[in-house]
Parts: sequence; C-alpha cells; structure tokens
Amino acid sequence: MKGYTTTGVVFFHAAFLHQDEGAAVWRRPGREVVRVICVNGRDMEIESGKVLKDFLLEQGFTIGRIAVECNGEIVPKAVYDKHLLKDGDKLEVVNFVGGG
Amino acid sequence: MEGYIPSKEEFSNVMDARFTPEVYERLKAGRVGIAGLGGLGSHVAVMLARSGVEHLHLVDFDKVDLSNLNRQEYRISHLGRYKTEALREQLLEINPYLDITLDCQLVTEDNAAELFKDDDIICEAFDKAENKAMLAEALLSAWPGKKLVSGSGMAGFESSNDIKTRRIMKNWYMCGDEKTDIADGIGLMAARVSICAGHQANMVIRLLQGLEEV
Repeated sequence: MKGYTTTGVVFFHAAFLHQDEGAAVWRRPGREVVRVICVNGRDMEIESGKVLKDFLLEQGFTIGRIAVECNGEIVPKAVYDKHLLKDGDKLEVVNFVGGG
Repeated sequence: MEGYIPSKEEFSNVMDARFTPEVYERLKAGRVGIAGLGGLGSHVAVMLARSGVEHLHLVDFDKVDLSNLNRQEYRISHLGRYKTEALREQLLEINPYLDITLDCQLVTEDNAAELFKDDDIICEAFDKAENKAMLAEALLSAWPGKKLVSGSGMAGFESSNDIKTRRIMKNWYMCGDEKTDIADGIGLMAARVSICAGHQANMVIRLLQGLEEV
C-alpha cells in the first residue's frame, strides 16, 4: 500500500534466518551449509563435511583428467578423499581434453 | 651454398634489429623444457629455436610415425627414428649453436619432478588428457616456483578464435579452447594445433621477457 514500508516483513524474516557476516548465504539455525567458490568464480552451496573427491564425482568430473587448485595450491589426487571442503574455499578445477 | 654453416656472429647480426639486444639476452638466458614432441611440442620447439631461445630440453619416449606427418614437425626421412633425435636434427639445421638436452623417456608422476628440475619454464605438450593432468599436478606440487604452460583443446577445425591463453594460477598458464577433445569425427589438424602451439610459444617468450600477464 502506498506510504507503507515493508519493515514488518523484514523483521519477521530475520527472526527465523540470520546472515553470517561477510557471507552471501542465509542460514537456517541448526542446518550447516558451507560456501565454496568454484570454477570461474561460481558460488556453490554444499553440505559441511563434504570431501573434495565426493564433490568432484557429484559434479561429474573424471578424476584422472583434472587438476585441482584450492586456495592457490595444487591438491594432489592422493588426498582428494581426505581433503575437507571449508566455508570460503576457492577451487579451480581444470578439466583437460585430449589432443596435442 | 652447400655445406655452408653460418658463424655465431653471423647469426647475432641477423637477429631482427627492431628488438633491443636485451630482448634476445632474456631469450638466450632461459631454460625451457618441452614435455611431448608431437603436434604441439615439435612446433613450440621450432618457434622457440627460431626466436633465439637456446637452452631447450626435449622430452618424448616415442618414434616418428607416418600418422604424425599430418601435423608434426617431421619429415619422411625421420620415420622410425626417435622424436628427440629427429627434432634435434631439425633444430640444429635452424641454429647449430643451440644447447639441446634430450630425454628419450616416458614421463610419469614418479619421474616428472626430477626430469624437469633444471628447466625454468615447462611447456606441456602431451596428447592424452590423463598425462596432461598428471604433469600439471606433479610439477606444480614439486616446483611451485617454476612456470608451466599447459595445452588443452585444439582438435578439429572449429573457430581459431576459440583458442585462448589464460592464467589459472600464479605460475600456471593454459592454452587452447579447453573443450574440443579428440573423438569420432574430430581429429587433429595442423593449423588449429599450430595456433595452440603458437599461443604456448608466445607465452613462453613473454615469460622469458618477465611478462606474466597473458
């Protein structure tokens, strides 16, 4: 209605959700979601406790044809199944194709 | 002028004087490793040799095959010979004063780091995706200070304009369209592979000049 603000709606919303400082994700208290920035800077939500290997397989990558950088460092394949993804991690997954 | 071999001085004198001497000093000082001497590697080696890069480390286990002649820098007279030796012969005919090191062996995750330890810049020029990934991981883990120029996606005859160079990490560059794989109906053609090789060679030259942006 003209002349009315939406203050009431905003307060109602905030009572049930909160925004972590600096994060772009609304979280429901009690349910943990981590934010990972992946290839080409695309933000993705994943469950906490997810290891890199499972994430890569779920995304459809062929492990033998990729190299992964996490926060500026290469992650060796030997530790893909132990590497826990954390809130704010920046991944580059480089997918190689054949020919040369 | 059969049998005539120019002197080192004659070579220096004909270098393109439009570039300053410092440009050539930087090219001469670099040590470049080329992993794979096929469609990419053989052309990268020739371009770098012509440009004045003198220390070239050539690595490939394979021999020249008839099927290579559609895109690789070899001739009929090289058939059946090791690529390392055949390519060295080619390069020395371009410049007899090159400092060429050969390693005629298969690169694996176990020997990659040791093999390329003396090179400042490594050009990945393999054909199998798995080996490309293996080399990137092995070298970037073992030698984070060395520069790696990878190649991925150059098959067929899609637009040349899809072939690009991008910087993935501080010391890791990727040349190619990153998507066109070899498959049924999509092989490798000299032109498009050479475009990717040109991207790689130019990036190596840029890095030798101290230019890190693509």
